[in-house]
Amino acid sequence: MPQERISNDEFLNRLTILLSSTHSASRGSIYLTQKPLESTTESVSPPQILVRATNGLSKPHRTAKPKSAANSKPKIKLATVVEVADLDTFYARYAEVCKKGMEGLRKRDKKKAKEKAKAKKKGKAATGATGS
Amino acid sequence: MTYLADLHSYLHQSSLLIQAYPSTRITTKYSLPRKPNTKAMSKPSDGPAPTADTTAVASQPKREPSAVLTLKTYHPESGICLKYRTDKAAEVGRLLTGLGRLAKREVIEIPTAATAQIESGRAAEGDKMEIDSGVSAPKVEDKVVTAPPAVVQTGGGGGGKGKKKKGKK
Repeated sequence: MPQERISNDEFLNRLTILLSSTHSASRGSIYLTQKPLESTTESVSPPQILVRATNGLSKPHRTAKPKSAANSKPKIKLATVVEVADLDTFYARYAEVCKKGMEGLRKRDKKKAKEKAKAKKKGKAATGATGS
Repeated sequence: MTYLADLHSYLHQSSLLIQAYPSTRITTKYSLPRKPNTKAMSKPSDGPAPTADTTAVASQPKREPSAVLTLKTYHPESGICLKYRTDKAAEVGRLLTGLGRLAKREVIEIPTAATAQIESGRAAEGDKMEIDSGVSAPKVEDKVVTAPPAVVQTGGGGGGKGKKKKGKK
């Protein structure tokens, strides 16, 4: 089944929304996949990269017992194709989106940072990281 | 299903796998912890996360569970699977630059200490070859005798050894 592919910009925008909505629900997962696109003409040595994002939920018709519509969130699938020339710019922005969106990860530990600051004077870097 | 210890070796191994099998795919899973209700707070039920959790708990006990980022490099045909798991926000940036480089099929070498070791290994091999050649055998002996105390000794090999020592301290 061919998947609808959206533009890189749209993908990143929707991924931002997907990340923030997952956070507001404070549960769930997001899967990001990247793989080279199988080209029919195998001339291009580094092919385009297909990047997908999904929230990993099942399609409504696959769930055994359909939950109430209010409870169940829809499956979200995003896919985009990144041209080789755009890889650098795309990944720079992709990284920004992920850094901002994955706010549930552990920030640099303040205790550890203090210890580090004692050992080395790395306090500045640590606060900078937590600030971002 | 191997979890690799650090990010660099994960990226390195993944780059090798992609070199070998270009159809390898990389999945990044960002999963939020279970809803932090009171029961979960007292005993976080992170069943499938033993290694990272134990270390985290050991270093900093009684912390609320954080989200976890799991990376999986997988080649379906051969079934080779490399994994890496982190919960550090600081690693996301490095990780994604790594993924970008993997997308471009670059070979990612392990920087710093590991490469230094490899280099020193190569240097040692060079020394051995010198020994094998036989002509410079006494010279080498001199080197071996003087090497441990003498940091002053010039030359690439000597310098490298001195550096390594400092690192150990």
